[in-house]
Amino acid sequence: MNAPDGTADREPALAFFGAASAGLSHEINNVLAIINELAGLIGDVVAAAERADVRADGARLRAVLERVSAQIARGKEQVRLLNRFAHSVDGPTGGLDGSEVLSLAVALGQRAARLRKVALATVAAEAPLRLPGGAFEFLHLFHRSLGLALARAKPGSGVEVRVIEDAGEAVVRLEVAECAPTADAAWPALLAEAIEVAARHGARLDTVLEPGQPGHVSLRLPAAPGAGPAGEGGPRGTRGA
Amino acid sequence: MRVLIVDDEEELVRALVERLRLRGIAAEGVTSGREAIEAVGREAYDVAVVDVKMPGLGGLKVAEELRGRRPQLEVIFLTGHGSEEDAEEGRRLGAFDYVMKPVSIDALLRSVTAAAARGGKPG
Repeated sequence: MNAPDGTADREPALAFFGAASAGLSHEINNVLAIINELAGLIGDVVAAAERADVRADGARLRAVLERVSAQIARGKEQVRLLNRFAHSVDGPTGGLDGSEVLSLAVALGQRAARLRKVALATVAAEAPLRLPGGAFEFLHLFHRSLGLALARAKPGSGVEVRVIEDAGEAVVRLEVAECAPTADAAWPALLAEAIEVAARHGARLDTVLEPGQPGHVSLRLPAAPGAGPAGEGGPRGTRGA
Repeated sequence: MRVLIVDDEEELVRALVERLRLRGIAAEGVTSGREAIEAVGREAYDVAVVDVKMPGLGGLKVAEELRGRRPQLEVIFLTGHGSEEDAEEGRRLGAFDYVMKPVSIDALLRSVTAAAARGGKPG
């Protein structure tokens, strides 16, 4: 089935799952590409020594191996993120402790932020975050909110994520240090889609994004079932396996 | 033959530059499109190997800018997951070739050598 504009007409959530998975696969592919080059470099150094009939430069080889180890650690972290993201779909729903899911959401958003040349950071939560739905639904809502913030953030500036309580509601606030002078042509469609996704989940999106000014995107979540202080009982947001 | 490697993955740039230099090619690397544009304005590179997905200026835009500044420069795109749209856009911009990551150094070497030969600078 295609939409009138010819693009595949799919659930926005499915599109998000695809985009997030593709982003992680790109990162993992980059790690593999680097390990491939470093392994090749070790081979080059050894081959050059054999041709010259001398011992290979041990210090140089050790330095390259340390670079390989660093990439393996980076790759393991990407695979761990992929695992947690995959399990966000099949985990429990309702009344989740959102702090762990929020850290995953920010980690998943780093690539998009980097591509926009925007620094993305989390500020210590000022209020508990209980999720009304599942981890995946929250990740999707956060992704849409971040998309809005990044679309308007000035390259070179930053976005800080904080959780606050406002009128009894948990609010995930993405604070943009400085908005760009102009908005992308895609902005109206991006905003309309994000608002629609939020409404589907009973959430609300507010944006204050004026050119040249600090701004914010606020995601107001509906009350979670049995909401109490975060961290006291209740299922966890994501699991690893 | 002078080759410029452009990729935001600093470690990949460093490793490719080292490997090309071990093969006798004068290779240098930068980690952003902006740096690539400055480098090409400063030095007479024969071939630029440009990552398609980079922060800020993407690879396709960078290639267009580089060729605008130095029309004889041949561009080879580096891509993690090549899409048909990117390939078509690359051809439209006159890219010489596409190389997939992880890179086969022999394939890159063949492509770089052929690109330099087309630009009149055999390796």
